[in-house]
Amino acid sequence: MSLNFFQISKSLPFFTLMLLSTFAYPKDVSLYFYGDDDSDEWHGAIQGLKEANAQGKFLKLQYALIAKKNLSEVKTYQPYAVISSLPPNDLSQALRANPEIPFFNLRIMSNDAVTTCAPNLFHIRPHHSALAAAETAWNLNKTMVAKAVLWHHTLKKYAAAQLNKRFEKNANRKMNPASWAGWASVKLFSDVLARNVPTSETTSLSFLKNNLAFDGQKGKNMFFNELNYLEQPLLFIYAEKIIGEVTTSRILPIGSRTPPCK
Amino acid sequence: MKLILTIATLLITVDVMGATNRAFVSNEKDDTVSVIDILTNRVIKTVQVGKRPRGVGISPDGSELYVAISADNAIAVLDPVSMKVIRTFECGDDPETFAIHSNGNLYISNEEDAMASVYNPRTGTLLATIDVGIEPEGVAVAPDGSRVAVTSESTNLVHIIGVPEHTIQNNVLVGARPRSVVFSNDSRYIYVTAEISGEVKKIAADTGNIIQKTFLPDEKAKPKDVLLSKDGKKLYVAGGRANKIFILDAQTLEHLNNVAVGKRVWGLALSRDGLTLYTTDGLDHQVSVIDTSSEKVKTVVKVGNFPWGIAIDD
Repeated sequence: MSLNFFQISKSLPFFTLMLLSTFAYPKDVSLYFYGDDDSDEWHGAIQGLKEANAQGKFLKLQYALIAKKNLSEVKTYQPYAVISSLPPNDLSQALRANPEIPFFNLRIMSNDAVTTCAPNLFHIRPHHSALAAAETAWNLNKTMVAKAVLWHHTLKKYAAAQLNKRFEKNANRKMNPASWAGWASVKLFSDVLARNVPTSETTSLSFLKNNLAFDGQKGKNMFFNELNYLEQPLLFIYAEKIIGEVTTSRILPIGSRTPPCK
Repeated sequence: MKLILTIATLLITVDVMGATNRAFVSNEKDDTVSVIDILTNRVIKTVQVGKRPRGVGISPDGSELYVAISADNAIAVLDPVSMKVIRTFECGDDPETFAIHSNGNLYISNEEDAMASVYNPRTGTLLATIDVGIEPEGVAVAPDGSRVAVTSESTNLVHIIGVPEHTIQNNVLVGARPRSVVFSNDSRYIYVTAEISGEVKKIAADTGNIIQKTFLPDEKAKPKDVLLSKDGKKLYVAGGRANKIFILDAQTLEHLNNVAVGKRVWGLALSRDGLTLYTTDGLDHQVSVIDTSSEKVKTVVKVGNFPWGIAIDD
C-alpha cells in the first residue's frame, strides 16, 4: 500500500514529520492512468514507467502505473499522481476533490475547457493555439507548409534517437507526440519525486512548478508556465522530416498570453 | 651479465614506449582518428578506425591507443607509433566512452545496455559488468584506483563504484543530463557536468554528498567534458554550445575565466606538463590548442568531421 503523505499531512503534522524522518523516501509510488490502455499515451507512459524504475532502483523508489476506469477511486486510494488522456472536463470533479494531487493532461487543449485553470492540472501537450501560432509564424512566406509537433520519431539529438529506439523496441510502434506525452508525464514526475520529499508545507505540486529538471530528450530545460502548460521545444515537420524547431515560450512570450479561462 | 641484460632491456622498452608527442582525435561522423603532431600542430595522418568513434585513451604504458567505435560495438586498438589498427575487440552494446585504470583495465559505458563493463584490453576479456542507469556516458577512475564514477545521462545519476569489488557505493542525483566526470588529484572529490542544467557539481567521493555546485555563467552553456589542471587548482569545463571553455576554481567552483574556442566544444585533454589544453570543437571540425598560462588559444588545427574525443601521448 502506498503512503499517503497528503492525507496525513493535513490532519497530523507532527506524525507526518516523524514519518518523513523514518522514511526519507517513499518506497512504492502508484500512478493512475485514465484513458485507453492500448493507446499511444498508455504505451508512452509504460516506457516512462520503465525508465522511472531504472532510476528508482538506485534510490529505493518503485513506481507502478495502474490503469483505472472510475475517477472516484482517486479520492479513495490517493495515488501520487494521475495521468489522463480523458477530456479535461471529465476530470473536473476529481481535480477539485484532490487538490494536492497532480493531474497530468495528455490531451491537446482547447479554450472551452474550464478545468484548464485548476492549479493541480499540468498540461504536457501545448494548447492548440500555441501549435497554430507556431505554424503560422514558421510558414509565413514559405512554400513548404510545415506542421508543428512536440515529438517526431526521426529526432536524433540529445539522445532522442536512443529514446525512439527504446520505445519502438518495447512498444512495437514509433514514438509520436501522444506517446511522448505519456512518457514525459511519468518521467518528469518521477524525477521531481526523486529530488524532493513532500512535507506538510511543500507538496509535489510546488516542486513541479518550481524544481523541474527535465529536458524530455529535447535539449532544453522545460518548465510549467503560469497556466501549467509545459514550455518545451516544438518541431516543424515537412514530408516526414524535421526542418526546424522553436521553443513554445518564444511563440507567445509569457505575460502576453490570454488565459483560456478566468 | 644478467643485470646488464636487464638494464639493456629496460632501456629498449623505454625507447619503444617513448611518447610519440601526438594527439589522437576521434572524428565521430567520418569514422576516423586524426593524428596531430603536437610539436608542429599539424595533422600527420588520418586513420580509418570503425563506425562512430567517440571515446579515446592511451594505455598506462603508452603502448596502445584505444578508441570506442560505438556503432561497431567494439574497441579499436591502435599502435600509437605506426598509427595502425592492430586489433579490435567486441565490448557490449554501443560503447560510448571509457576510462583506463592504472592496472590497464578499461571501464566502458555501454550506452544502450544501461551498463558499465570492465575489460582487459590486452586479451579482450570481459572482467565484470555493473548495472547503472539509462544511457551511461562519462566514466572516470580515481587516481588512487579505489573507485570509478559513471554518469547515467537519462537517469541524472552519478554512480560511485568501488574497485576491485565493482559494487555501487553511492548513487548521487545531479543536474539534468550528466555528461562527464573527473576525480580530484587526491581522489577525494568528483566533479560532474550536467549538460541541460548547465551546472557543475562537486561530490565527496566517500559519502556521495554534494558539497558544491555552480551554474555556468552563460545561458547557452551545455557543459560536457571536465578536467583538472595539473596542480589540481583549476577546473576546465567544455561549454558545448557556449563555444568556450569555462575555468573554475576547483575548491570553490568560483568562475575565474573563459576561453573562446570553436563551435560546440566537447572534448578536453591536457598535456602531461599541464601547459597546453586541447579541445575538440565539433561543429568547426577543429582542435583548439590553448596555452594554460595565458589562458589564450595558441592555434587551431583542422581535423576530421565532428571531432569528439582527444588523447595526448606526450
